Amino acid sequence: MSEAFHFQVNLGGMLDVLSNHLYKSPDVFLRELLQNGVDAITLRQREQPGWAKGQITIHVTPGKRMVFRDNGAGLSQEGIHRFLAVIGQSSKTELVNGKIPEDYIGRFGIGLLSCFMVSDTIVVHTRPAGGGQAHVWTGLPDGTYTLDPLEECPEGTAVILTAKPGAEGYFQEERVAELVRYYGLALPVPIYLAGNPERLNNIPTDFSMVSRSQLLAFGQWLFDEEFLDAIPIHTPHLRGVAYILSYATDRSVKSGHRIYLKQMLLTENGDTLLPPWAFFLRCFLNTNSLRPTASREDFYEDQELDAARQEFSEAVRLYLTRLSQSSPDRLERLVAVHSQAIKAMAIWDQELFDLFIDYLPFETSEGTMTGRALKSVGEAFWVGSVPKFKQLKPIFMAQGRLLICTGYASDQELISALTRRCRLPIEPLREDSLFEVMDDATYIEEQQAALLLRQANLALGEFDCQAQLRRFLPASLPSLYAMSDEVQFLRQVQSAQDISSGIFSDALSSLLSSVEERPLASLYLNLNSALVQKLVQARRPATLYAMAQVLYVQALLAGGHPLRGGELASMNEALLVLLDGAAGQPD
Amino acid sequence: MANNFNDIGNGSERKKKIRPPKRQFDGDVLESIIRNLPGGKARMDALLPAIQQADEEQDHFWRLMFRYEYACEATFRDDPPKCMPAAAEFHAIYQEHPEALKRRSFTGAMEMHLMILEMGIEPIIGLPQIPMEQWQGLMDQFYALVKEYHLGLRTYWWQMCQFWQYIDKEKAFEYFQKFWKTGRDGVSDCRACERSNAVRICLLMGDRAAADEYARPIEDGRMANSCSDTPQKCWLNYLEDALDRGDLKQAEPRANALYRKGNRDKSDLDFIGAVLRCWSFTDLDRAVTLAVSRLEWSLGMWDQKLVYDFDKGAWTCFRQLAKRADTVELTLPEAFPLYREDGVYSPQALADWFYAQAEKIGRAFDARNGSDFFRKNLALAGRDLL
Repeated sequence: MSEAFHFQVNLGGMLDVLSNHLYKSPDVFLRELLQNGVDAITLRQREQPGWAKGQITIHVTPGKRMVFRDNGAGLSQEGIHRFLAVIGQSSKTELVNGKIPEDYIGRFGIGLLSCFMVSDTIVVHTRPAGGGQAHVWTGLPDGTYTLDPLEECPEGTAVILTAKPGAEGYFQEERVAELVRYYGLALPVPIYLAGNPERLNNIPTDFSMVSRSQLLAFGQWLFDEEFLDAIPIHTPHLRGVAYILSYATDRSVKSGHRIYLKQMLLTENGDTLLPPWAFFLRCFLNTNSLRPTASREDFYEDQELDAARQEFSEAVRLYLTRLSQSSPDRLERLVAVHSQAIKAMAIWDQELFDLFIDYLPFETSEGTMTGRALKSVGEAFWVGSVPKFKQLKPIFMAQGRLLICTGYASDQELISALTRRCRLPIEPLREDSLFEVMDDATYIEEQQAALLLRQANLALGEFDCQAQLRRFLPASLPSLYAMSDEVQFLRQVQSAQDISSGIFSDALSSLLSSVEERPLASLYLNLNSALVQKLVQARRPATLYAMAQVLYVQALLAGGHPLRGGELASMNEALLVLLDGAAGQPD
Repeated sequence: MANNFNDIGNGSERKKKIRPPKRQFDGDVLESIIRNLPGGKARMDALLPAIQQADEEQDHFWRLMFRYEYACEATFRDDPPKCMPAAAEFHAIYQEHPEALKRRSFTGAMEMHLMILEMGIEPIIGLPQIPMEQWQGLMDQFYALVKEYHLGLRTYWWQMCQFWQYIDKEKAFEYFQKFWKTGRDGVSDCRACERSNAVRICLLMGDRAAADEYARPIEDGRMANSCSDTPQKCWLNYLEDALDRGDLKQAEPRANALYRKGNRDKSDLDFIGAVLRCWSFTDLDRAVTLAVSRLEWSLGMWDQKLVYDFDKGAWTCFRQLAKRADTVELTLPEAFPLYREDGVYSPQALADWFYAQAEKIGRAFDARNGSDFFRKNLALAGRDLL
């Protein structure tokens, strides 16, 4: 049978990894100390029911030394050997009825090591609250420690750190107070700086009982900014406040929440806990029932987290519903600022949709209109592309018809839902829908323009485009280029194929040739335009051919479409033809 | 009187006065505006004119950057084949102006080059109209660049594995092993995606224990912030596996979770298709609502694999509905070939249509790949799991 060997662990290296690489910043040492202190006090409360004098006191010698003292359970000699000296061993992971007790914050047994980021030694004075000998434990980053009896020591534990070079900044009262408020603001145990009676962490335990103005004042103090509103969150998994930002933002902006686990700051990042639309909120939340990851910087993905997310969504939704009844003006202001986030919510929630749709703004050819206004406009079209909307807007404006732009996130789904639910005559604008804003040419006009159309189709054939005669407003627009998304993509493929040799050329060519029936774009020639009327009269094929090319390129540019190489060249050639024509005989 | 053009107005001063003011192009500003737009179509619509402006200015850095960003949006938030033109143009411009990306580190530029090529080549897996030889030709050129740059070998093996999973799973597994043994670099996918890929291959090979082992960090939530497709990709693999085995009990919670996270845009159609398959048997009303609301995304999609996945799910859904009702009132998009103004549809006719589409696409894939993967795959979806 083969012999079993034990791994050899380089303890100094392990300490370096844990203390310098596991955590994002050295200042987490204070978080870990707070966590251990609160857990020690919780343990003493558990062992001595009725005892409620727990507190933490921090004494700072500026730039040099810090004594972090709790009057919690303290450690016996055996406890010191078990829990201070074994990495990964924590007094808090001992099972109670088969479960890890939920009222402890820590559980991994590695927190104290983070102190090596700011101090080369960790000295712990500790005396068990239940009576017994006090001890002094001195740990070094090379993995060695000493343990001696101690005479003068109150019940509980004091961790004594000495600033190592470069870490002096953490040993200042202002900095310590700032970090305590940052990490431990929500802690239930009072925390003081030695000699100062002002408690560093004094906040309400139940925000649902606090007035709106007090909540807003607290939010302003905490986040250093004014908020539009404050939503108390009080659910089985979450307690706190969601503040509504007073300015528009988007989901790519880091939100800077304060999310606490068992009253200790866990993360500023709400991506895991909060729904994606919550980017217009700044949250101060505590949870006691979710599980942290090992680095204590996020939550573990499980069913509890799922439930917490749903509760949060529900709490926000309920608040906004009540607001719509109690203070519609405030709701209107809120929607005006955060329409994008609310739109994202309203897509998936019919109640929210019904609640907000009247207030939500949409871009139209008549300017910004709310859902309420759209309910009474009668016939309208919507177009799902911002550039296309910009191109068509003048035509719709000139004709007094309404075009809604749904090229922005969520708008298409909302307009579509609005149309469906309210049975509105609003339709998506397809290429054939353009006929709604264009009149057909008469048979006689078609006959008169036969030469122009023939030459135009000859000129535009190579660009997969066909010319069509229409009459539309404004008359100042001689032509309009319209294409479907499919044509647009094929144009891109064609352009790419033009400039790519070798590597992608064959694949792009296969892609193009796989299109069974090549869709054609359309160049609509406007019979209301004086220029087009003149062209209808013209009889020189070469001039008409060249003018069609010019109008085509002009329409492309007006529509913001990139020009392919051949198109630019064809316009130059066309201009030369026209110049030659101008130099020779007129029509 | 001036004798030649140089004498006119003593040169530049006069020229400045008559020249129209130069339009200011600031790629950084443009980029920050675009980044504030929602991802996907809105950003793509804004990037096209940005590319055009950069081209006009001959600002090669931004010509490349905007194309790269366009490719990313198309790949991750829209219709992946739409990135092919951008990738092809990026490659051509970068070959001509390799110095253009010097604002990035030397390695960063090479990484970007390989990554956009990967984005350009990968969609071919989902485009049966592009012959396998052309894909192989592109992969050969990709490999040549991998050797030149000393980067991206791991990605190369994964691309090979991905294509071959539909042709020969043993060969795909060989590529997978090479992929997993090769070291990561700046071109590699995110760690969670790599693990999701590993889960997929292990499930394909029938090695559930190995799949579970690869999935563990994702399932434990330790990789929650890796990328926007985590953990959906991993969940999809398990959901499809459970459905293929006919295990609705395992499939249902996966489908519910996947729906919550994987229903954001067109690129999620594979997730939606699998959710539809499951809900067809566990929550038919919800499945029908989902199929109707997401049908629009599938119409006009270039990525045929995504369309196949959606159509397969919609087929299952309407097939089940046909057992319950002869007609149903639905609001389907006008672009849908069976669109009816009165909104009254036969679920059986809808099921037949979705089946025909999925079968046609699957046949095209199998013909291109010289295998029967999709035929068998579609047959699995045809089973009644109730």
